[in-house]
Amino acid sequence: MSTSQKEHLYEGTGALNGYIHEQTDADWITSLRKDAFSRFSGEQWPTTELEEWRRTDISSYDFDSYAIKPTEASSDSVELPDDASAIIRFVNGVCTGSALSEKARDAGLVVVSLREAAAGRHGDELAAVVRTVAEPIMRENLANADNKLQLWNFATITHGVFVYLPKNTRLDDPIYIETHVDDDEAVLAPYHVVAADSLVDAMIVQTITGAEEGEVLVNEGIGVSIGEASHVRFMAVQNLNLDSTYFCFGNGSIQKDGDLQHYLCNFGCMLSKSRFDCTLDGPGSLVRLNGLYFPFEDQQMDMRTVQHHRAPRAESRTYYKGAVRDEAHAIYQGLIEVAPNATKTDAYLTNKNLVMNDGARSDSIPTLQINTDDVRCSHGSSTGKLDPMQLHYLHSRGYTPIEAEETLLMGFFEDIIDKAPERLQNELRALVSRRVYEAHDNDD
Amino acid sequence: MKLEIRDLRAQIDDTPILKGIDLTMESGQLHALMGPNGSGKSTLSNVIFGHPSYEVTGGEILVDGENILELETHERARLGLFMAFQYPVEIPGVTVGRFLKRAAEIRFGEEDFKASAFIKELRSWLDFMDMDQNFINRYLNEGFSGGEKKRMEVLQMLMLKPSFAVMDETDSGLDIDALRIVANGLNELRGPDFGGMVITHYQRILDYIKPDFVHIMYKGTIVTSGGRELVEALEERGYDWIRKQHGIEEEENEKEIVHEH
Repeated sequence: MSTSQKEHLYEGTGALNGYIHEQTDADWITSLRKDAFSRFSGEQWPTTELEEWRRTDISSYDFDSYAIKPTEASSDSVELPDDASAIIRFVNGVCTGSALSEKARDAGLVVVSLREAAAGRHGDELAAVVRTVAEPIMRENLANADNKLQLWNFATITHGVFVYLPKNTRLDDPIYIETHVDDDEAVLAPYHVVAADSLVDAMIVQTITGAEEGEVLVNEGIGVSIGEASHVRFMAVQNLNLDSTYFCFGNGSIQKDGDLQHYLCNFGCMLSKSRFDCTLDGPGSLVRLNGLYFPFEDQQMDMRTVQHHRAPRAESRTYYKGAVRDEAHAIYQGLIEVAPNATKTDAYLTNKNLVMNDGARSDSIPTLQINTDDVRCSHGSSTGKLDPMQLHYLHSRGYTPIEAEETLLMGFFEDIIDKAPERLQNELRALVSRRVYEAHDNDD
Repeated sequence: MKLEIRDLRAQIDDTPILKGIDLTMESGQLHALMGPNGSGKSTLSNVIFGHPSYEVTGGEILVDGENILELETHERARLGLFMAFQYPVEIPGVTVGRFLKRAAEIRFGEEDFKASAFIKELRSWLDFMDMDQNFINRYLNEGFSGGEKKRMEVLQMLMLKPSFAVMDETDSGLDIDALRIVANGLNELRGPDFGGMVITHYQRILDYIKPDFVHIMYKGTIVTSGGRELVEALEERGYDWIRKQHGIEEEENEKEIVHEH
């Protein structure tokens, strides 16, 4: 079955207000869009004069002329993989299906299209849950939105998932959120909400993939809320083609004794700018932010993390690690911010880069803002090169130059891969390996 | 395998180090290359393996008639050449098991490679080298002591069974027990299909491995070659004797180094 969704249509910023009114959304989402739009109109697109955007120039994009086109996608039934608690798939902004394991269903897990569920298409009861849970998260993140792209995301939300994990939900197998874009020139604005009540243990794996060619723009928002003593791991793998652009603004909030691990695996896009901003709201909460990136050719990847301590005795660890090849440019900005009441904060951030050749570049900008004593906060960053002696050693054992390079990169990434959930580690290794061979194919 | 070095000249940063080396070595033979520090022994081994810091300015190195100076380092290794490094590098994140598995696949062919047999053999050679089994899962040379790194080189040699191996001061920095283990490893490989060149300053390893041929290197050339009796003469009379016999003048800055040994 093929559905043409006319409601997605809008041509340029001039038509944005009309677009918002045409959407058949729950009232509260429409109201959220309108609020975003009213601020959007008065804002300028981010320029390099802003510190966060200083190294990523987006002035060549004429966002005001972008159109959200009618999209086509067939709604297939999505089959649940063996090792999954749930799966939901979006193709070109359309939810093409979802599935839940029996165990997950019994536990009360909700994995649905946010807009559809909010509009009551899965019943009034669920619509009420979505509103109760998602609205405050989205409202707060909108209130904290600090740039026009983020406001554009809220105003134009094309699709997104609503994941709700009720109290005591413990799932061994991951929840897969798949976003696929193969429509040339697609402009998508997903907004995903992941909310865990107390005593939850779960893993979410979000993948963003696309066709091998064709320019697409994904401007994404993510709101994550972790309840008391809950433990959630959130893996995001971005692997769009090299013509594409990706913006992502993620917010996480963690309650007392909660534990969130966010893991960004960044491979795709000509230009990407992502931010994951975590607030440790509850005492004793724990946040781990991990990143693995490997840009090549002329890719530009700009990543930012924020460890925002707002409660005592919370702990946060950021570890971002990347290799840069060819003419690629990686930017990592990390901030640890400690509020006056956040005593006994224990925070650390590390960024390590491997610059593989002259012409490749990596910028590492860690910042600490500490507004109280009695904390342990520090950061470390390093930039290195491939060691010719290590390469020579491997060559002397018969490794070809490409095998030697791959082996050293695998070794370099091993400790960050080791922080990923075990079942995903081989996939990450395969991504790194594929990138090495891709890069060498280009060299030849 | 026949390794012929003909009038080999090489330099580093425009400083000539090798000034015309001639040596012929074959499988079934064990050669010892001796000489004071700075004589060019390590340069010779590095040039055989295409080390990127050295520039060959003349001569050739033939392996069974093929000039390997035209080959890249990995291609030389794939002919069956092996080098035990003087300073083995650390490779963080890459386990000994994974590293050696690939090296063995390269050496013996992926088709014939059997992982279970490989592990079994690796375990037995670890025992033989008096190394703990947990080395398999440790990152290559990371955090190893100097002696462990040298044993790891010999372990690799035992696993990869090269046709010809160059051991660059594999004995230096080892206590007497470790020296005996390293020498045992080398003796284990000896036979008609294996040839080797042991580079050393010290006579003591030669008590354990009994080379067939001994060459003395001085200032970038081989000044004399002979049998095992040369080691004894050297032990008795020192490098001074060699120098005087061959009319080599001692340079002021060399004195200290020469007298160390």
